[in-house]
Amino acid sequence: MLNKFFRKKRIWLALIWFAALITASLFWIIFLPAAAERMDFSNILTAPSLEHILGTDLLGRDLLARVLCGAGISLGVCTAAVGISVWVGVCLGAFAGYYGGWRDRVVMGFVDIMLCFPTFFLILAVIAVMGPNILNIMLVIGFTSWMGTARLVRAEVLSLKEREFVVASRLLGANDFWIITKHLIPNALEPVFVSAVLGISSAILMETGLSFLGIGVQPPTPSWGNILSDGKSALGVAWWLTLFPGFMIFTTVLAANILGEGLRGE
Amino acid sequence: MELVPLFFGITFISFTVIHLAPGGPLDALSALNPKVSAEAKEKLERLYGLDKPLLVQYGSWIIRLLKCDFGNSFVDGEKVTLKIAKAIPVTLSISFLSLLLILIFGVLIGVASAVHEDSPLDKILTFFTLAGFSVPTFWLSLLLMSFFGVSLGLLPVSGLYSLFHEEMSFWGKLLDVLKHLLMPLLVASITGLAGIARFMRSSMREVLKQNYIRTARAKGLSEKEVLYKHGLKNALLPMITLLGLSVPGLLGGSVIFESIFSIPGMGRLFFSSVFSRDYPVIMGVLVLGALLTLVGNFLADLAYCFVDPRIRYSSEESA
Amino acid sequence: MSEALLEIKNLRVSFLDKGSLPSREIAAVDGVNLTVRQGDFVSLVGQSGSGKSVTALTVCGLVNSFKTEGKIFFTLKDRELDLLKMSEKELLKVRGKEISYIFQDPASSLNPVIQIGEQLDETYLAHFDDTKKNAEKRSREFLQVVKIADVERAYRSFPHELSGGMKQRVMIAMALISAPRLLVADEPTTALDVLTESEIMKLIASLRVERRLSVLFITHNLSLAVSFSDHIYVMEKGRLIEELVKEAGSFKAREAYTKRLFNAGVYDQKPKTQLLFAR
Repeated sequence: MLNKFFRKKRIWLALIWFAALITASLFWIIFLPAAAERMDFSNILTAPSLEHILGTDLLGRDLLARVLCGAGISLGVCTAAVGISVWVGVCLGAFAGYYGGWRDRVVMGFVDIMLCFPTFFLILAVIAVMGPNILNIMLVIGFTSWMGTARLVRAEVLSLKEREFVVASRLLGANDFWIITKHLIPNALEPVFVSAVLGISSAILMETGLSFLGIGVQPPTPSWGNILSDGKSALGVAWWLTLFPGFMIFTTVLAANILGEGLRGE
Repeated sequence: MELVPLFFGITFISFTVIHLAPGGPLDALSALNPKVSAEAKEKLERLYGLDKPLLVQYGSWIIRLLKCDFGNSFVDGEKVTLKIAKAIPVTLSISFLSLLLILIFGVLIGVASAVHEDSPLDKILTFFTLAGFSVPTFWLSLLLMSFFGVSLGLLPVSGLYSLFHEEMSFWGKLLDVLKHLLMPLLVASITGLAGIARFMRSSMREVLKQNYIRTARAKGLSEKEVLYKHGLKNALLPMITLLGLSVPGLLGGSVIFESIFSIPGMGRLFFSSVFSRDYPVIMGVLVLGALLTLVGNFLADLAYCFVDPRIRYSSEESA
Repeated sequence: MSEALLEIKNLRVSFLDKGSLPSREIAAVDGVNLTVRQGDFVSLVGQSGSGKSVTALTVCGLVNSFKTEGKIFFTLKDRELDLLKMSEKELLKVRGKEISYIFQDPASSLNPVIQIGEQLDETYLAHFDDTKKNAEKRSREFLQVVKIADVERAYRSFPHELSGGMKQRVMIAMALISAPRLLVADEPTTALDVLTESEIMKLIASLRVERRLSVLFITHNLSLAVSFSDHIYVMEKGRLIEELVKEAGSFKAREAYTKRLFNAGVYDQKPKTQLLFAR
């Protein structure tokens, strides 16, 4: 089955993009962390040149360095956020699916309520209240994106619940917790994986959106979003400040979507 | 129906969210204005009822909500209801126009893609919808602004009205507003459009595989009749529900493009209230946003029941 | 012997198996010869995968094949047309008008969101330049022809409001409304219960006589075919195994496969148990 997955050209491109991105940003973060911070006031807002391949920003910092460090930040935050949302979603979904009854209705009611809120509104409200730092961003995005996963897992558990291996396990004396964690959840993970990959793409859009608006990752820590907001102030003057970070966001989200879609097509 | 518990759930969560603030909502207020003394703070607390137990606060807030009283803004004391009432029509009209755009073009693209399955057109359209789905709206706004607004000078980049709006003729005023709305509308619609187009494509493809399409062809109907009379009708049904589900996305997205294009709608109101920690406004918009979503979904469900004959006419076995 | 209405000569229909590397060509129908004479009831019998449905559907170009070879001659107004060589536009004049189809699952074969009456009207109007009012009249006539009791109610209903048997009657009405010469029935009773099956078969048989229709009947049930046909073709894995002609009221089978097919429906060679009817 995985043959079909690897056949499409664009999936390879997406994978290569991620590999390159992760490698480059790790390299920069580990070996050249200062490059993103070094301000050079004689070189403010210079266009791309041999010395600064992507140009410099409002404070003379090299854009390439900032973009790559920002990559690490954004990817790290978003992966963590997705991790949280998957964890919450799997736990709640399995719980609801397995026990059914009023417990199921309470959890699903909670899902319905959460789905009524425009996600971005909720995230903004919580950040307003708790302050914008990296940890809060991770938590907030994580705690507002679990609903889809919960529904998926619940559906899988409902259908797996009555299968022979579960019944057999119960007859052999396994307790609920064991059945849920050792049998049901591993089998329900496949669609969760797909939704996790797609979740990364929406998490990136949300984190960079927050940073762009100024309530996400705070400068001087670079994030594609806050570099873009610098680009806004320099609109019409420094096209590179707008083009490059935005392009990174676009391509990364696109790559994540391609991978997610490819996995789903299985 | 289930709307009642949902309403309570929404309000409860909104309430909880605000009171997550470490140090209480008034701390931020005094942080902005250090001259506020401790007793003044206490007075404010009693005024806003913040010294009473949480459940009591929640209760009295709900009662005021039902009377449509959202309290007063922390920032300028204006009634929150008034602030929201000024901002809602703008956002609602943009959302409505957006939904129209999304529906019309999304369906067109999706159907074209499905009908010409696997053709070069299909591949191009599919790529564009994937791209549209992935593009960050704030980036797109900036690109459009810098290209059409700054470089080409064709479209205005902020606000709803030009400086001389009042002096224009009726058509001039209309054109003026449209020019201001063009870029925001595009940005607001693109994600939804891409989503609907992709869904429409797969829905149409599914429908075209069905047996009744084979029957329609076997009857000798023209390909046009088969595709549009038989196919499209069925493929469009789930679209109604999907449109209802796009409402929260449209509202959430309004924060970004309204801020960038300086449009005085709900999104921008929410954003500025978040920045200034204006809690009554934040709560008001939050609750209202959720309620609007509820209404949208409810209307969509209603419309669906009306349109799908399988639900409209309950099954009767007439032997 | 009456004239040939439909003559299938050396039909070969193949599909592309994209799952394997490199993609293979698989022949679903491999060299089939079949004739339907005017007024005859011809059955095409075989198991699933024998290619019988593909053969029937290919007659009017309803199959999306990789390659189709051979000739399919249809006699129309004393002219013999090769249906495989016709353009889509020309084929539309035959499909649904001279040759009509009914399919296996009436529930999924009717459009769920369009009224029955409308589905009948459009069939007629697709082939005859007439007014809507006349079309509606004709639709109601044909609902009567297929022996539906409450015509008006059925006309206004949606498919899900009718029973399986009624839905199949509607399909038959839809097939006959343009007065075709040939009715191709692709396993029309397989999805129905035994009593309804019997009603539908009797309906088809009587309509065939009344309307001077020829029938090409696809089925996996050889005993059913034996009860109604003048001519039987047996297919296995895309090939024609045997052609059975009715001589003196019965068919003589020569091939072992045919015998196996028939005996599969008979569970007791010497019936030791019987169903007795109390007086």
